[in-house]
Amino acid sequence: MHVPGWHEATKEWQDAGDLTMVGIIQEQHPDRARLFMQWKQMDWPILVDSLNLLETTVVPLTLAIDEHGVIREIQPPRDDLETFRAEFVDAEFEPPGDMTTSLPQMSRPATDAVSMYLWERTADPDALIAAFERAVTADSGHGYTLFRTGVAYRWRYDSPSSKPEDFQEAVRYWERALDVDPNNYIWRRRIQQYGPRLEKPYPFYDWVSTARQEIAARGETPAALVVEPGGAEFASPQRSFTADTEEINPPTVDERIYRDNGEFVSATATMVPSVISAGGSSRAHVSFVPNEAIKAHWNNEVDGLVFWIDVPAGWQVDRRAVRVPNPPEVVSTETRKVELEIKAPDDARGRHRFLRTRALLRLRRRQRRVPVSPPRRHVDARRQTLARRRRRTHERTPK
Amino acid sequence: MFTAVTLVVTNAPATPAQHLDPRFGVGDVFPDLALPSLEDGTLTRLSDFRGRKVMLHVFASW
Repeated sequence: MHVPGWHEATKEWQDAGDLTMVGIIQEQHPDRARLFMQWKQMDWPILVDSLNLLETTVVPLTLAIDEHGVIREIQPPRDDLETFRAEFVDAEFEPPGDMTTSLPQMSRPATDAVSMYLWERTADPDALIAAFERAVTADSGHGYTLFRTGVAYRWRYDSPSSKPEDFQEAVRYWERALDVDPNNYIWRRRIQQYGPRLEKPYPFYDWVSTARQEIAARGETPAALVVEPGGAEFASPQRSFTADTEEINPPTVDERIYRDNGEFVSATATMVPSVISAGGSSRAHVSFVPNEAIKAHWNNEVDGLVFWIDVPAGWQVDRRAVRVPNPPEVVSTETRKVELEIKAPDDARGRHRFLRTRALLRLRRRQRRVPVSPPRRHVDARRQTLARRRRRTHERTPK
Repeated sequence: MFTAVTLVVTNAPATPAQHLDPRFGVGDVFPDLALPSLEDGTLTRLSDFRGRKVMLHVFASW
């Protein structure tokens, strides 16, 4: 990779104090860069620019900046280090006559939102989103504001204040930003990171597993990640869609289906991109969240979650059934996530947007095992409560 | 023939590595933005490194 190569090539100069390396990270989750730096044994200052305040449109970008803050070289060639050393590292530069720099132009509400992000380190995600929404209202055609609003939504999605629609809102704002400037690769990559394999330039975080292994092999503890990369972030690019044509047999009413309208488990789907045109594909990120208010939970003594997908004629999916294995605990309340890809027929008319409503769940009723060990009182009590609720709801549910 | 050449050029994939960001030019003073450090969130400016030769990498770990 570009940056570790420069690090290796200039390490002696760095150690001698002749050259200082500084990084600016353009990622939604900057802590992943911490793991990357640890893996590559690069120990120099990194600044975080998840909001793209620098307003650069591409990465990687390498700048040689002199002792006065003046850019002397852009993308210097690494294959001619002697010239680089002579013309930059060992050179003495005169200070510029004019130290004026051009800072990004923003509306007052946009400046307020960015200031809240920068200066209030414990900024409430709700307040931050409200501030960015005001900035969008003030200037709905400002691509950077649209992009940053998307970053704020995704930030809240990854926080304890997460709301089900946050991820989809983030994607929509990033798409609106890209409509303003289709040549901004920072924005495009943010969508592709979560998008379908047909639109990926490369797998984004496939290095994480190798990094952890090699760091651990050195006797170090790998830096923890706030948010583990998901399936889309590991997926490799694909040139043609691989459809799953296997016949599936989803459960039917005859098999004693209990139809949950979101009372026990809510399902939220985020589509990336948010709309599909003819021949296009999109990646669905589906989350299943047990209802904490009624103490709903996963019963892990039965089979794991299975997600069946039916699509209209002509549409394709890469998986017809997705299974999520159970964790070792007898019961658990974690959010379960499923990802799959959908492709529209080449002759599909119009643009297809997915419904934002909660998906209906079909929970398959299964025979409960008779416990052979002494009953676990608290678990059994929760099961009995759940069973009573189910019976009552079932009686009310028309068949 | 001219048309064919034009098609080849316009269809060439635009890869970021081939671009130079038009926002920055040789001879410009680098924007003095304050950004949080990855280490502890302290706001840091590029001007904090004045007096040193800096190689600045704007990058992502992917």
